[in-house]
Amino acid sequence: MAASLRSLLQPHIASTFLQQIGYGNQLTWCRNLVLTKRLLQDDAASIEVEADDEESGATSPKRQVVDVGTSIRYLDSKAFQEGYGDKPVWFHYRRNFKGQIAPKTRKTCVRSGELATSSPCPVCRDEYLVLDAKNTKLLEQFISPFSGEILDSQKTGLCQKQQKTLELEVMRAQDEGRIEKQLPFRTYNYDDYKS
Amino acid sequence: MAASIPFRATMSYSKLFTQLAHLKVRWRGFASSSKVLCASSEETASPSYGNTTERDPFPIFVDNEVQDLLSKITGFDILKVAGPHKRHLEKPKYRLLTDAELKGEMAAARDRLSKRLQIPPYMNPRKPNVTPLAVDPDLAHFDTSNYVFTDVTFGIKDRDRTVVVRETDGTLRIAPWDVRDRMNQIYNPREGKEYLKPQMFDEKNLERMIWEKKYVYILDRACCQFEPDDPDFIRTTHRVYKAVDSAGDHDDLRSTRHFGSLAFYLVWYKMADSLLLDMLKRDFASDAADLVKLYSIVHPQSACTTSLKQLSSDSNLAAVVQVYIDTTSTLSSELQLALQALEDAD
Ligand SMILES: [Zn+2]
Repeated sequence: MAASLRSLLQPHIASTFLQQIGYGNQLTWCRNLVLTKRLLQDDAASIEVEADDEESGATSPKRQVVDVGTSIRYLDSKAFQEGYGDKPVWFHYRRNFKGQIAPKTRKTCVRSGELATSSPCPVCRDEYLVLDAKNTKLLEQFISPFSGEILDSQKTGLCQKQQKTLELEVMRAQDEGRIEKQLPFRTYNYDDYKS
Repeated sequence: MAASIPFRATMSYSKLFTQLAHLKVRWRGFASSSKVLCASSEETASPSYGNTTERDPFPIFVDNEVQDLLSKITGFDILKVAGPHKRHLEKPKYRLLTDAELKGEMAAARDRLSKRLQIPPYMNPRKPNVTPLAVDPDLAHFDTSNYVFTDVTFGIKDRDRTVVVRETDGTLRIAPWDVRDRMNQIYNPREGKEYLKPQMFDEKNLERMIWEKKYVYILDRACCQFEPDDPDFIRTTHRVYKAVDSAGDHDDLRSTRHFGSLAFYLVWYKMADSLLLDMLKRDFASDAADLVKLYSIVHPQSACTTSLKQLSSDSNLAAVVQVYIDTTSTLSSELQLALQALEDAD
């Protein structure tokens, strides 16, 4: 039974799962089982999405999809200010790992449109944070103001999927001139231009 | 000699290739012929500023006297020149120095920083080469795409590099400038230059950035991306200079490498009045006098120059500015007031 369960779970869930068996915490045990059940449901549900929607469209379990404009407004809103204060969104995020050296961040927090972990990364945990070239206020929180380089995911805790998106969107923003990038100094030799 | 084939390269082409490369072409002959072609070809769509576009500003720009005046106007605010700019962070190094060594280090640092104020060349837009080098109707439709041949000899400069295109109708011509720039970037990549022009220089994004007053960043990036005689470079920089002048943000560019270009541009198109006013208001009397001297060098036929020659060589700065106000200024009343205020303060 345990073996079949393990094969069903994603590797990282499996590790926390087994860890928690060690602690013998009944509550966590239950929570993980629920998670497993939901993941299993997804496979079946994907086939009969339409049927489900007709029956219970209001109580859709899927994650909300937020557009960029809303996200930009959210970053200027009072709610954002109350939630995060003046700190970057990743500042108070703590990763849950064993030992002193943090492992690489997980591949993704969202699988088949739904949170697949109980400690999603700073961007995945808030649906209203959308990484986009136009959303410079959010992107700048992940960029060092001194060097203009993107902060490491080890520091910010972003999952690798979001980190990849971040890098792409920052490049796009730099191309459009929304974010400044490092520029080398160009020295001219005036003699080259005398024709 | 190397050549790049767009889209496909197969073994069977290599033979045809060598033949093409040597056909009717003496490679070394191009360097001289290209200049002739440049001169004879038709003019690009340059902004109509009257007769001034006909003159070539570059010889005047590189003149030692002009360079001296421009660098004097630029100023040297060490905090601004050495100010924060984005680069990879390294750990600081600590050393114990004697007073003499410290002095030497400071002088070296000052030297290093003054190189950061080198003014980008001020040039006219380059002309397209249209006259074909050779027309070979026999070669027409040999392929469905153009062939670009690039001289990649070691040590050759980007501006002297020979790049030619064999077109599908059999015409051999000197590569258009954009192809040339891309070939240079492929074979001799320069850091900070993108293969494709960044969208930042498109009209919409540029206007947004000007509105955000990111003047120095736009100009710095334009320097990295374009050659100084690229029409795009000239369009971008002139747009920024115009915005700076109309917004009165001349001080943003002071102590950067672009202030000299700005001053030269304004003087060249006889629009230097608001810059002069800004200088007088900020108590830079000697800068103002230098600007007037620059004006007289750039426009030797103007009334200002003739009256300036009549002045005795040891006349004070205010007199020099006064000459400009009397002869050429369009904002004479405001300038007069500013000059008066400056004299009263002394
Ligand atoms: Zn995530």
